[in-house]
Amino acid sequence: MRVSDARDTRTSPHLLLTTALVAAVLVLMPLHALHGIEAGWLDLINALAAPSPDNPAQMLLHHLRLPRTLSAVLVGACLATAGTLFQAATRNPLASPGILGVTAGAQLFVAAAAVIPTLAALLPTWLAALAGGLAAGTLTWFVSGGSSAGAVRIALSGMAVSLMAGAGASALALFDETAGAGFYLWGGGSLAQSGWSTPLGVLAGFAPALAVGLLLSRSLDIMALGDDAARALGQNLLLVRAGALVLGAWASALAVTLAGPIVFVGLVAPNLIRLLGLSRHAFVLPFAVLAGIGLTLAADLTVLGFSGGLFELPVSVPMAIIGAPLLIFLARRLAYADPGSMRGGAKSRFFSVRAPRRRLSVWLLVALVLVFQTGVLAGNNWVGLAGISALLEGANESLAHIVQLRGLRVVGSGLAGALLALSGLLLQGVVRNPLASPDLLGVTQGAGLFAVAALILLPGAGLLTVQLGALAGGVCTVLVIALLSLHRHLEPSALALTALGFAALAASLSAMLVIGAGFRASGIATWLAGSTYGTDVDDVLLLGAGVILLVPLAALLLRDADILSFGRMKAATLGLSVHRSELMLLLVGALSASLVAAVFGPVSFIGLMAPHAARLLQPGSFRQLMLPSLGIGAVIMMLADLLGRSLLAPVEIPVGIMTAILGAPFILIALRRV
Amino acid sequence: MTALTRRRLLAVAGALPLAGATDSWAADPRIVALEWRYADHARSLGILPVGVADLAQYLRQASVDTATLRAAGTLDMGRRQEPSIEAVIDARPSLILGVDFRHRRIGPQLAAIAETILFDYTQTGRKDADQLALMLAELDELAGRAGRKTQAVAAVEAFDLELGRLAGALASRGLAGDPIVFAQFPRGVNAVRLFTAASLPGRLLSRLGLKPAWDGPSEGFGFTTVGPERLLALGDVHFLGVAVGDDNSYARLAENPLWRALPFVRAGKFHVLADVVWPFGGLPAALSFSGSVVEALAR
Repeated sequence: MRVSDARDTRTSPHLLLTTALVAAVLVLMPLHALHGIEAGWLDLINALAAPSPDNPAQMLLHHLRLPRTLSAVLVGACLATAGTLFQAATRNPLASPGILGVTAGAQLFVAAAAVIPTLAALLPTWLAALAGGLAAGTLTWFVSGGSSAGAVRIALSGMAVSLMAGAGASALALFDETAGAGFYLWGGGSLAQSGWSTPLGVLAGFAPALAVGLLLSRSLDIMALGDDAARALGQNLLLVRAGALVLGAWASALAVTLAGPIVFVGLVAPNLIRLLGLSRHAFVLPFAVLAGIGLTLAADLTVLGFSGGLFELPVSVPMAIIGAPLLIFLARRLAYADPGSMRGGAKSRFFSVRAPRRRLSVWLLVALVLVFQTGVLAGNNWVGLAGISALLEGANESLAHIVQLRGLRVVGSGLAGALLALSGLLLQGVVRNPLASPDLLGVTQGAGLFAVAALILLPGAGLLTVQLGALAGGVCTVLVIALLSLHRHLEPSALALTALGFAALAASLSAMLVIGAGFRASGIATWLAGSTYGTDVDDVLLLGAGVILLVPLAALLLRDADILSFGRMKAATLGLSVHRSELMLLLVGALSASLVAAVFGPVSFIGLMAPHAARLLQPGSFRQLMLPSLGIGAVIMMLADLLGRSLLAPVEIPVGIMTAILGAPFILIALRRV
Repeated sequence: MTALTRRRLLAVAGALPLAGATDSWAADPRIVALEWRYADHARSLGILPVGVADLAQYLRQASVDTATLRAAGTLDMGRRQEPSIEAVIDARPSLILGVDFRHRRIGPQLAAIAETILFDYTQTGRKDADQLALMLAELDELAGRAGRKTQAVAAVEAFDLELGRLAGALASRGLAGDPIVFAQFPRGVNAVRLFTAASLPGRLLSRLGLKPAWDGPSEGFGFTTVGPERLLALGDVHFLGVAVGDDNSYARLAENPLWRALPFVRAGKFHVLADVVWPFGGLPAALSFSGSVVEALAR
């Protein structure tokens, strides 16, 4: 984002752009308003001013469709404004409400206010959205290390925060099945309105925000020069940055209040304008707003086109289909233009060996034994000393049955945790970024998409089909990502952004399928939350086989990862076939995470947490980190399973939600220090 | 699960059910219902279930005799979607009733605890199946296996009698043959669910002498989720909606001036049910639903 005044002062392209954008919006608005309604221009004008009660088309236009058109306009404008402000404040072209986790945070708080009556009494929807958006944005900012963070780092931190908020929202939805169906409907965003009051309220909140944003534009231009230059010019950096961020969170919250979470508008609109060569914010902001309006209207037109047929499509689906490729394109552009911005802060600390590692292994073994023991003894009812002696004498058959089922779950969880940790470590080895993990690189989402597709499109098919679907989904996603971005001239971190694009695309498509499935969504929602529920002998054998096959293979590959961490050039001169090693690391990493997804559904955060925890406890090379990571992954997963089935017994909390809850404080504390 | 591992599980649990001897549990039927409809079925046969999933919400339904179930010491089995298998074991059931779309995965584990029947329920995916006939067929199957055919026949007879009485009450008000749309207003969104003629509530409305008028595609449970614009196209019908709580789509839509302009609202043919009416249950739920419908239409 460099200031190039020479280009900006030429007026003719501006005039052309203005005309084009305004014309597009002016054409799209009546198209949107009149879609599927038998009415002419005259009806439209009448409907706007004074609809005649005897004309049903005018009544429909005035009371339902025009509020929806206004909502599309407002949501586009709000998100584009938020994106522009976030990008300016973080000096990062990827910053946008969706990627920073602001949208997900706002959505979580709104959902909480809908489910918990006391909260609803305290917080109106818009205030809940604002509070959630601000909280999530602050968290992302804090985790990524603020203004000095590279593009990749901010994007991955935001994704982690989004995943956390998403887990929270699914936890809420699980406790009320009927309302849960509603969340899914809302979860992909919908512009359908029930009247004028909400959109008009949002308009009143947005107009001053846009005005303040325009007033700030000069300061944002100065900030684009870099912190030092801006300070030298007498800019109060803290004030401008905080102002832009809060304003952006406000605009995002307004959009969530109106239509739920809609992704990608805030990313696409400002970047589109900047790709056209504009950089001064006094121009970028209004043009981005126009582009955002046009995009949202076009996306909702697609939705209206579908709703005549089978079901209401969430707006995010057409948005993601436009937005994800742009994200991938931006990632590649960023990687070519400015390799420095892609570095995520992987440090050579990997090699500072410290302390005897025997002590850590002993502690890990003790922890494993303790968690296993507690896992078997705890559940709906604690098995005390009397219970144990009854078990030993074979006196209590139903208790023996219960303990056996618990044992299967605990062992299955441990194996799955180890595989997820392994996947995280392998993927971090390729991307050379400490924030890499299967759930941030699209493996989990790809597995989820294929499994959901198998569940819905082949309703008669057995569990095996779904499991094969999950495996194929995870591995295919990684293959496509590797094809696109494993390239000699691309920083490995560009892969992370490409993967992020695919993750978003896969998540939206899954949302579409879930909504298409209607009430069956409840069963799929449980699967998507990730669950160790009902682990049987076959599951344990499958996971065990995975561990036995993949761990030795990974041990070999991680040696390559250690060489790769010197950089590709050096690795190649050391005789390593860089491309092949990277591809193998990716594939085995994807395979181990997809295996877990196939058995338990997508489980987040273990792949991220376990290698980090290992590195914190005992820094070392990738190979040295492997065993401690496996142990820590197993312990965390067993703990999550144990808490999930005993905290609210007999109600089960899916393990994926528990790992996200356990992961939240970890992200705050540990990632900050990387 | 392979036969070998399953046999091992059964042997350890010591709960080997006698294959084929369906009446082994009929003498002392301890029934665990993992879906509410099957708790309804058990009650229709004169059996109080020992365990029900999502018990607290089941007790909130109008058709449930809360005091009797409480006194019988019925236990909560956790959520219907992922019931607690440990709670099922602790309830020492002789028969477990569940639904295929929720419990298929844990079917073998349930079978290791006690004899298990997983029903097709509302025939997810099939469009035209008569869901009332399906419900009655399930009750009949269960009665046969429990050796309680007489109770089932008596329950269905009482049901038919009551429905006939209610249909008569509607006919005497001149409502027979009137077109009607039954809907749910979900929470937190602006959408509405319209039920098809083949759905359980749709079939009950037919039995009451009314004519279900929504002919959209079924999303699996017999309803279609539509945006508010669709309501305009319904024409001159009675519109019967369930709206529970404050934040449902009815509360949002009713504030829109267009709502008052809708044909069925203008003609005074809009009826709202504020009770918890569960349109997927067994005979008790169906009776309670039919009673509420007639009460609302007569108002």
